[in-house]
Amino acid sequence: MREQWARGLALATGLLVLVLSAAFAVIVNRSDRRPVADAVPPPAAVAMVEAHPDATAGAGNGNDPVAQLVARGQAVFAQHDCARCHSVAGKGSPRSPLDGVGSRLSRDELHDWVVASDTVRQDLSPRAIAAKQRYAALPAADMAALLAYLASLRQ
Amino acid sequence: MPLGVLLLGERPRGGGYWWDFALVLGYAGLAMMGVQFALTARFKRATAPFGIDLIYYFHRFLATVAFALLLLHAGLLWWKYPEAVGSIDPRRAPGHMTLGWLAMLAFTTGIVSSLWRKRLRIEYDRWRRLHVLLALLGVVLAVLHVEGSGTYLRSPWKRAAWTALALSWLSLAMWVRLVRPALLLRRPWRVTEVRRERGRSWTLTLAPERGAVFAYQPGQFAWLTLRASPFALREHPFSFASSPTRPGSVQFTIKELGDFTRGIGRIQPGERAYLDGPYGSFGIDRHPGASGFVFIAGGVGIAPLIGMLRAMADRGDRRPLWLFYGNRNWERVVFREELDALAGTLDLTVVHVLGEPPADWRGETGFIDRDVLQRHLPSGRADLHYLVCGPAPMIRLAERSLDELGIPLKQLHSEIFDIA
Repeated sequence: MREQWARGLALATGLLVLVLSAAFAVIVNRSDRRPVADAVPPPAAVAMVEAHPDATAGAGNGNDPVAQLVARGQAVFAQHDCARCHSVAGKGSPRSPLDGVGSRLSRDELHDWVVASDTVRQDLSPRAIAAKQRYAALPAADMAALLAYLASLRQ
Repeated sequence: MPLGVLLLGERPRGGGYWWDFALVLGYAGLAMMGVQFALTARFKRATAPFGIDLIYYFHRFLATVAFALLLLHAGLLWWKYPEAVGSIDPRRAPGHMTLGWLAMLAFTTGIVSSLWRKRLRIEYDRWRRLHVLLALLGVVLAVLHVEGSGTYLRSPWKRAAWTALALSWLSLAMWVRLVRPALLLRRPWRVTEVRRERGRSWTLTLAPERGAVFAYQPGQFAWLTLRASPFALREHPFSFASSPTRPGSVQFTIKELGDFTRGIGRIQPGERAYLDGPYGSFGIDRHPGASGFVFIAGGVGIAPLIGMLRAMADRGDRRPLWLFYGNRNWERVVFREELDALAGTLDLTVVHVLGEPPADWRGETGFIDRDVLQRHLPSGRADLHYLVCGPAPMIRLAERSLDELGIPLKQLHSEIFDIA
């Protein structure tokens, strides 16, 4: 009887934790439906980009990537396990989706976010900055391919 | 649960319903694992109202539930977000992910070796050391895994709170495994007598080397260490068979049953012992208002009950008492002669129930079931308190029978022998 009691209490605790976890997930996702990513600028930066549409458009048009370069960039993306923190088309960590990032950011801005340069540093967590350090050392060709791939992610 | 506060108080960005659900499950599962250190820390005050057997059952079930949550955590992420989880291969995965997998391995080993200890034929002492090691290892690795991935620990104070929580679990473990044994070391006991009883049982008498015996109640128990250091994790719980009304020493009556108790008869007077106690909430002194008691014992489950009977005899207690005492055969009835004597001093009715009675036996046979109880209990049986001690199947039968006889559950108290 005491055994059943203990079992019931343990199961009830487990259920309570499940319910709380589910509630937590719902609350967190309701308060912020719009997918935001580490690689997406905060509202101020978005406003700035929107205020100067030519800059983004110009950068985007001027660097139209050849399919080969994009494919190589995708390989670089996979090789460096970018999907641990970023998702593309639902694959990878949903915390920081990159879908459409090519429409929102210029090539230079993409580079800033990839290597966590000083201009974007304040908007990144220390962990993200630490993780991005090593991308600064990417071979130039790999970096160019990666940026081409990211720029191709348009909505 | 402090965990809920810690989790709900923060505002990470949503990563999709399943993503956040899975991550929170990780935190929750780990926190529940951490709570296990508190459950098994032997706080006298915290465990007193429940009884230690209940605490250990709860520990067992809660840890299993926590493990299930951790499995769900890893499983969900692996299933829904394989790219984010990445490779399990430690050469490719980041350190904190490898730590997470290793923690999972430690927890899995811990759970499997505990739930199926007997089937796996793991000796009790060895299992306990393994268990402590795996529990510590699992929690430390998992905490490092969280510190490394730290999705919900972006703000410094949240990380500090989580780290403090983790340290509190570890300090509990340190307390139980290091500080308390050190305290025990300073209060050694000595075996003063080893007496053979009926039914392959032995009574050990122990006296403190210095000072007086701690205050205890009949029916409580202590962790006994023989022929080992208190740090060696070779302690075993036994009920006091002695009564605090006879000061100067304590007694344990122990049957040769398990890995440890098999050699109990080889203990010599003069050997050093360590006692951690008293613990437990099983006993007459918890129910001073009872109009009378019914004791139900199976085999060596008589040990705590004889302590209570001795105490009542010494105190001149005149309340009506019944003892239903189940044994395989007549020659193995521990304390048979002393019970006869006690029946003369106390208002005590002893009902022996034998599984294999001799040919000329005219008493009860079989198990202590509803019919046996009904034949001997008075009409006012619903006012009495019932103390049951014995192996689990016997307790289950007794509890069911008493329930059928209309005894309120709150007047029913049991203690299971052989928890492991």
